[in-house]
Amino acid sequence: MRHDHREFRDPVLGDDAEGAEGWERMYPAYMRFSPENRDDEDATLWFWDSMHHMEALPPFDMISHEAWGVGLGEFNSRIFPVPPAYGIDQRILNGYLYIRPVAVSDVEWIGERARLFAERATYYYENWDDLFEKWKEKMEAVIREVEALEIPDLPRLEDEKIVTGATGVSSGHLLIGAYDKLIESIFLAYQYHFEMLNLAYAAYLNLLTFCKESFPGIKDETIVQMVAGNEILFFRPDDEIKALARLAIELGIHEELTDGADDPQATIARLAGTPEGDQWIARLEAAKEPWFNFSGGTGLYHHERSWVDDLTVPWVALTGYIGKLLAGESIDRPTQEILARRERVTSEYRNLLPNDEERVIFDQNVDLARLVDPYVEDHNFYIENWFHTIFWNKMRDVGDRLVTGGFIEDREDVFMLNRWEVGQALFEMVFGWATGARKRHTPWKAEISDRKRILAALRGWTPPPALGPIPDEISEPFTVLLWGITTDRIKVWLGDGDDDPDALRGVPASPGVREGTARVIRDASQLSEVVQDEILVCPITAPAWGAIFNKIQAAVSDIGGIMSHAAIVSREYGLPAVVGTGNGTTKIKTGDRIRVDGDTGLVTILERA
Amino acid sequence: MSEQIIWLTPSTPPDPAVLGGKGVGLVRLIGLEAPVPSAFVVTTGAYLDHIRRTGLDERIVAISSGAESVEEQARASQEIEELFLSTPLSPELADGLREAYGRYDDAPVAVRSSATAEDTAEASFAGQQESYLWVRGGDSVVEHVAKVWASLFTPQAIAYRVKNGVDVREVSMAVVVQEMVESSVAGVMLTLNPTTGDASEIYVEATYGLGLGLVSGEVTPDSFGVDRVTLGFRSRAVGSKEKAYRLDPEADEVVLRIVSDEDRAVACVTDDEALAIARMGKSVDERLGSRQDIEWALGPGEPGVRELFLLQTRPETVWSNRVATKRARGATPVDRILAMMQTPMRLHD
Repeated sequence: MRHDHREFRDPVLGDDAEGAEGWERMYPAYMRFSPENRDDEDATLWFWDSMHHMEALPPFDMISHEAWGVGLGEFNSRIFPVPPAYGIDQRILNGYLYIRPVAVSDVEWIGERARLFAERATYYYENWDDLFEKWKEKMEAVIREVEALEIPDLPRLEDEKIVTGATGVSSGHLLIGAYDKLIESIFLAYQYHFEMLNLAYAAYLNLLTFCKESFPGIKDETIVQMVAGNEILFFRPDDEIKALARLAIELGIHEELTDGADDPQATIARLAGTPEGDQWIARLEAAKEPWFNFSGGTGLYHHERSWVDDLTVPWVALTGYIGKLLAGESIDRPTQEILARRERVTSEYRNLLPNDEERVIFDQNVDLARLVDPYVEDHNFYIENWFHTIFWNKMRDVGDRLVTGGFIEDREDVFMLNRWEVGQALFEMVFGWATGARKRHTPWKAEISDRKRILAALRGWTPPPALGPIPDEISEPFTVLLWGITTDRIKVWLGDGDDDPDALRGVPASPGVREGTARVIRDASQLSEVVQDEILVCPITAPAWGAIFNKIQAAVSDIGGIMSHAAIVSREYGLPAVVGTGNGTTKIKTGDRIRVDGDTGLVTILERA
Repeated sequence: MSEQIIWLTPSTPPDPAVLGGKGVGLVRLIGLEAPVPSAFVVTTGAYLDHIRRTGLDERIVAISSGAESVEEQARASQEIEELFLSTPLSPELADGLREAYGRYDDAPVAVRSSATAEDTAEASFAGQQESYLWVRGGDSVVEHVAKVWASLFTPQAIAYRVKNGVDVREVSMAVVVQEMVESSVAGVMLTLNPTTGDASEIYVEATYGLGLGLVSGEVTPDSFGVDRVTLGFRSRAVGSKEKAYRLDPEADEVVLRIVSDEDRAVACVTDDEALAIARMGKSVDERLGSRQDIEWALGPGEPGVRELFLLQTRPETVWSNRVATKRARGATPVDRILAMMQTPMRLHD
């Protein structure tokens, strides 16, 4: 890699975001840039991972990206060796995550890695469906284990059972063990996450590469159309809501549900006790497990609550579907049409290939991409939604114990300590409980209140999109597919793009053109504000947001590519979508009249509110 | 004597030696029941009969064969044109033309050359043969047929033939007479992407008025790339469209007009119209079984409700005649994945 004459600011500057002095204390040293490592760190390009971590990181939440960082790295570097690339390195600057791909330079070693990759990848592709079945079992076992994990209280005196059962182990020891297990579980979940994901993406990327060579103008989303359309878990939560909407009408309780939309819990309490109400509530409870373990965000932050935690979001969907059903509209996803379209699109492109040899290769590539597609779609429900929901809530139990011990004020404050510090606080607490002596607390409460100030300041800081010099090339293939790092993107970051305040460019993710009134939504709690036929403008959509796609007529997001949730759901609902605009939620204001062109990726502000 | 005037119908034999390239293209479109303005052809036989019967052939040889310099070629070209204009058509042909035109009830027509060798080097050098738009009246049609014939002998064409020893008696041409569409918008389309050869794209160019300025390169058209399979837009660009060839009803002729800033700033066709044009192109391409180069026009009226016409189609030649370079590809998907992984993405050009 050589230095270009143009480059971004140096990573190792040590400058703090304004008002956020002391932010370094929140994260361990190995996650920060440092003057000692300047030779290495200043020599490469780093880019802000706004796709997964768009917000400043509460200290504990750092664990999400530690887990993906180590999992992705191990599988890329050591298990299914991507010939020219190791993993993706991480640092935190002013609370934001920066990443860089790590290249392999030894040519001989690259050749050896290629040979091993071929052998090992072939084994997985040949046994894909069986391995995926096993994967689901392994993953469900992790989730069940975390769910069953008991976070013990520290009693004044232990129960007699410890004596009569001769367990020989105290609650203090169990508490520390439970926390260690919890931490271990998320790292294990991300081992599984990457066990099959990189191979799956490689199969996708292979089809993408072939199609773009054969049809230079083909859009990514068209290629995805050739593959998608399997019955996937992604839509299951939404399907459950549809079933609940139908049942409500059948039982004649839909008006109560719609009237009580602002307070789902109270509505449920009101309905309980009537035969219809009880029947409906039983159906709701059945749907919750596991389908309401559905995050309101990416799943990677503790504060993105899931449907099980907050029924407001599914209720928006529920009342929406009830309204549609009463109006005689269909709420079914057109699955047959989607499959028919997939076959038509695939065969028409196939026919345009120059000869049968190319057609054979095309068929192989399509088949492989279709084979891996269910994994690509479903792993997200298992991990980012189901696992994370349970994991974050288990951490809240840990928070409760620290509140009882007087170490923190509120259970949510546990997320203001990083994972090492939580372990430290628990140990201090157990030590004090064990000895009966008053321990000199590390002043956690004061530290936490200071960190809240720091985080607020960090939220106001705009991370530069990239740091460091621009290399000649990037040899890590997933950087291109997942993060969309391309020559064009870097030009935009450098400010070469036009700076029209009334136009935004993004990724055309679902075709069609619509004009309408914008509704800027920053998080799930605002979803109920969306009015029929508005255009959704959001930072990133989460699966749980699927609910409002029956209300909107187009979608615009700051972050994401063609495989992002907003893109997938928009295609499913036939709505135009432009994703990855960078700053749609800043440039566009609620009430602006905008035009969304899902064919070219252009969003135009036609009239300011 | 063979037929000198042929009305184009679905059953007309598509013989380029008789109808010329444009004539054959129109017969093919008519065979597909595409929306084509009706047309008849003055055959190559009619042209050959004319130059032999009147002795024009010998005189052309005499005038053009010694024209070595640019000045001589220009002079020869002009002399030949004057000869064509002053030599009357045979009464049978002239009456036949007036009678055929009579079916249009004095409506305006286009009189266009239809060379027999449109896709050859001969055509690319000599292929600047004229088209006359908005011709009205039987006598005028007769006169314009002679003008089109004369356009076989541009100075460049003479130069080319002298250099390559082409006998002008071997060169022939048909003339298409086609009902005029008073187009509000017109353009061309290719059923592939002209810069990449991507066969999964229909590329449409559009400009105000008649399509003349587009072919001559006088205006920058709007352009649209449409995905052939999904029929969604791949690209859309509004061109500057400075001028437009339009009909001046008072003068009863085509004039070049400046386009207002307001009209230049927007696309001259609606998205739906652009897609309808592309869909038509796709259908013609698929039914003829090869990539096409098509001229189209939208009739008068409000945007969005204008009628679509196809004026011409011919096989695309630039990409279609190129021998496809074979790509080396791995035998299995894993081989190909490895190749892909080892192709780094360049960040600098």
